[in-house]
Amino acid sequence: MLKKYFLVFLISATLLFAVNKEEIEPYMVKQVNEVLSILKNDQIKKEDKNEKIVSIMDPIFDYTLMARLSLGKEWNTLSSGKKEEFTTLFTKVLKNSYLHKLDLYTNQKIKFLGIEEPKKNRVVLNTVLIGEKENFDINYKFYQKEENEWKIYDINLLGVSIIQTYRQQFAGFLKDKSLDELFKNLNSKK
Amino acid sequence: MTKKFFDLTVIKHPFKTVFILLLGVIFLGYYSTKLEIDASSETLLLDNDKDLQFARKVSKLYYNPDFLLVTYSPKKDLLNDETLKELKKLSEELTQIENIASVTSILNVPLLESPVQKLTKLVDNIRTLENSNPDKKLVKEEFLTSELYKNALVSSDFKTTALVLNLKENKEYFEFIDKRKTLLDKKREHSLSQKEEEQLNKIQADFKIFRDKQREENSQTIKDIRANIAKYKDDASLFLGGVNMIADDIITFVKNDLVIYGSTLILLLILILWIIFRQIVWITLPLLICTLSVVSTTGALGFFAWEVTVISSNFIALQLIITISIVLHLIVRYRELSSIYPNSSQYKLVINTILSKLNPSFFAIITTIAGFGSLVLSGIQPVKNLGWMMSTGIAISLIISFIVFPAILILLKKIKSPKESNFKLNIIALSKYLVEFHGKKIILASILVVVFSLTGASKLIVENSFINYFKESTQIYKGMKVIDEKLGGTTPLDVVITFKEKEKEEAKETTDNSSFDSFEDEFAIDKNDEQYWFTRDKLNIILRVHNYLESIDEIGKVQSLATLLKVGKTLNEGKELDSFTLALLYKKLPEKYKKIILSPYINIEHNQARVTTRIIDSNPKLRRDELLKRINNELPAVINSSSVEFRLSNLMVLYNNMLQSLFDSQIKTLGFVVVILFIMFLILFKSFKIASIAILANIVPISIIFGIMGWLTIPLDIMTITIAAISIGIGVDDTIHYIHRFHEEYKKDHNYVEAMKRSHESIGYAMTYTSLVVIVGFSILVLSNLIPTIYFGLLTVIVMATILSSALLLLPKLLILTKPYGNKEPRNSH
Repeated sequence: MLKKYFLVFLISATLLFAVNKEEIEPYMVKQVNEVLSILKNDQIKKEDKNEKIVSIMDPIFDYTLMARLSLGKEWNTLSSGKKEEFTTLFTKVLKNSYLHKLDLYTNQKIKFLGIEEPKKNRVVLNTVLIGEKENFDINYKFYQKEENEWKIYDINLLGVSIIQTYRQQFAGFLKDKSLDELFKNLNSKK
Repeated sequence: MTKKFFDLTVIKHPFKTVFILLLGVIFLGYYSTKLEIDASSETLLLDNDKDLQFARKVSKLYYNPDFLLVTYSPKKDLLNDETLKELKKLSEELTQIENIASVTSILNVPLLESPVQKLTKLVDNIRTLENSNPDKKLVKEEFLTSELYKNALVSSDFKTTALVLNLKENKEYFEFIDKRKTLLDKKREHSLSQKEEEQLNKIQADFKIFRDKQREENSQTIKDIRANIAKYKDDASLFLGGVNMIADDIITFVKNDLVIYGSTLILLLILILWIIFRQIVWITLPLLICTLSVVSTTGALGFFAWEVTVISSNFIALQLIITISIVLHLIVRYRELSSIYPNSSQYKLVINTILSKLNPSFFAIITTIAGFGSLVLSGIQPVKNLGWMMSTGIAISLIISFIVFPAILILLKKIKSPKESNFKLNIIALSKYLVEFHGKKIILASILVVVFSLTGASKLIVENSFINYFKESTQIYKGMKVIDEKLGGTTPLDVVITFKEKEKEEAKETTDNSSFDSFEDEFAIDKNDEQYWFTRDKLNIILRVHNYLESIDEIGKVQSLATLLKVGKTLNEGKELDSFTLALLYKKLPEKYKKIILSPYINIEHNQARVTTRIIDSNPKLRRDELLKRINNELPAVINSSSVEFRLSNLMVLYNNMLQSLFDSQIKTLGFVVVILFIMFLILFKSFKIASIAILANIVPISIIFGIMGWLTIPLDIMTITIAAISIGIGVDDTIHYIHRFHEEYKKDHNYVEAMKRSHESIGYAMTYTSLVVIVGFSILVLSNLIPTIYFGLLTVIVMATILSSALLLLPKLLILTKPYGNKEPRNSH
């Protein structure tokens, strides 16, 4: 029962943050700047920082799709219960890895370069992290989930796609091992 | 008919004959200036070895520059300012040398852990000892513990460091090899057109010119490096090492050996001839024949472009020895005839000497050729060449001896010999006595020899280590030992891992895929982009293989992508680099560093990784074949994945292939020689019994080599492995001459024991003299700088002595025992 309520809450919370295409850039500017200010704030403990950042970025990510994309066609072989389990596991692993990468942040600034529309239902928000000597491209890839709801399904850092990396990773793992073993492996990492 | 031939040519026209012969020798002599020496690693590889083609492919796929190493052990501390200054000066000077592209040393390698920096910072700011002023304590710690540098750039006692001299890339070499291979493959399939045939010939010729040029350049580079490092020897101990150097040093040693053997052997021969005959003519005539033979043979080698290699470096010694033994038989026979028939004319003496010796000498030479010729069966070019060289050389010696000897003698007055030979040997009397009265002991001793040999042979090992090619006193030995023991090993061995793309069965399609498909398509486009290659499954396999190889005692430095992963882990606060970080690193890393830390170890296009190792060549426990077999057997379990293939490669595999094939071919060769000899004995003696005795009298003494080598754990290597075939070739002369003579003597009185005594008194001396010459001749091989040559010399000396003993003891005893000419009533020979 409690789970159901929680789910309803989660859905409504997500809807609350529903973004339409035109709002993507201003919305992201706001979110990212918030994240940066948290990162810069030395007063906040590391664990709290992580929690805050997750709560800022969470609504805009479509973790279920990301999980599904990272598993590729194998996804279809999973039962719905297993799909849910995988999504939960993957989300945790992804967040951990993302948060870990934030440790590398040292006071750089982020510049927003505007959005592109590579095809229908897809939008890429191009940003650049201005470093001391070099700049790093970070591209957020959005897709249209519902009519007025755009969500991130992948991030491209310096031309390296996070989802593609996971896809290759899982495909490599599943070459010799079973899905059960993959679950076990993700469990040990989360 | 033979008599008529000699009468009409040599005897009738000695001047003309010698003149024509000299023209031939001069013609060949011209080509002798074109004789070449080659000791490159290529000469030691098997023709048509699939592993060789694979190794060449691998070296093209990975950035893999040739290098030489200078080891530097300063008197002061390694990180002392003065030492570093000297090191800097030295590496700057070395960089100036024409063929050196760059020098890697402790001065210019990136310092990653002094102190540990964040990964992101590293790429922007690579620090080195040269361009920054790091804390030396940390630097020392980093060099001693870093996966990149420990036991490779610095020794574990921190007293020695290596300067890696990267040589300029040699693309032309591979272009030649490729072009040649395509055409050779076609030739093998008989689909070569006339034009392509010409093309092939041109490539072969151009390649030879190219290699000669390269050899010179290489030699010059080594000279320059040596001259440079010599300047620093007051403050440090320096050695030069590396695969290219092995070849250059071997060439130098081979050249020295050729000169030393040639000249020393000639002096020795003069001495022996003087001791035996004490007549100038019997010194000058053999020397003349030897000189003409050697010049002609050297010319023939130049003419056929057969290059002298480590294995054939003693061909001059061999040729001299064999030629002198032919001439000695002729001299002894001439002197014998002149003492038996003091009144006969010079013509009669000469023609009878020639006629009575032509048959046994011809067969002796033919069998020697069979012995050497058998080497042609091995698949190894230098061994094959030795076979061809010696077969040609011996044939030339036979022809020259049988032309020059009679032609010169017929021009001279009859040579009176002292009635008693000046040089009497006790062993003849002793062996006569032993055969007559202690026959059983001879048989028993022979059985013991066979038992000794068989038990020894079961302990034989096949090994070939370059470090053991050289005497401990040589620079190259010292240099290689330092590299081997302190800086990670010598002979390279690679494990090439190929990740197969296994198409998984398509997962079951479900209905709700339409929108999803567009995502699948999107990700399918760039899935093969290079940065996504670094997946955990691949990295784990590389890491496991790396760690496994590192755990093997005989393996020194192991380097692979895992080295980077291990270093990365240190830099990443102890956390493993995930594939995302690696993908980023790959995208971000400047080409210059990619070349150093990635290109030697991965080839994304071919979905391959390479783990490179160096084998500690000087480890006495190293058994190359066993080690390779062990790795091949154990790696599948280490890799533990059906979609991953692996293959061992590089010099270690190639040399082992060569040795194993040499070992196989040695068995084939010996079998072949024994069969051919037996057939020849059958033709010559027309008796199965005698042929069997003759073979037995050869096999027993030859087998002793394997006994000695087995018991003394002298390994069969590329050099020692040819001894048996060569010894049987040379040693068989004694058997043929003795049996030939024994039959002559037996016909006189049908008394086996008396025939034996008379044979010993006559041919016994000739055999002893020739064996003595061979023994003394081969014993000078101990002067060589190459250890295999020394072993070769010593073992041949031993086998020659046992062959002589066998011919003087076992052979006559067997003849007396088995009575192969029947058991006719003895008659008085007078």
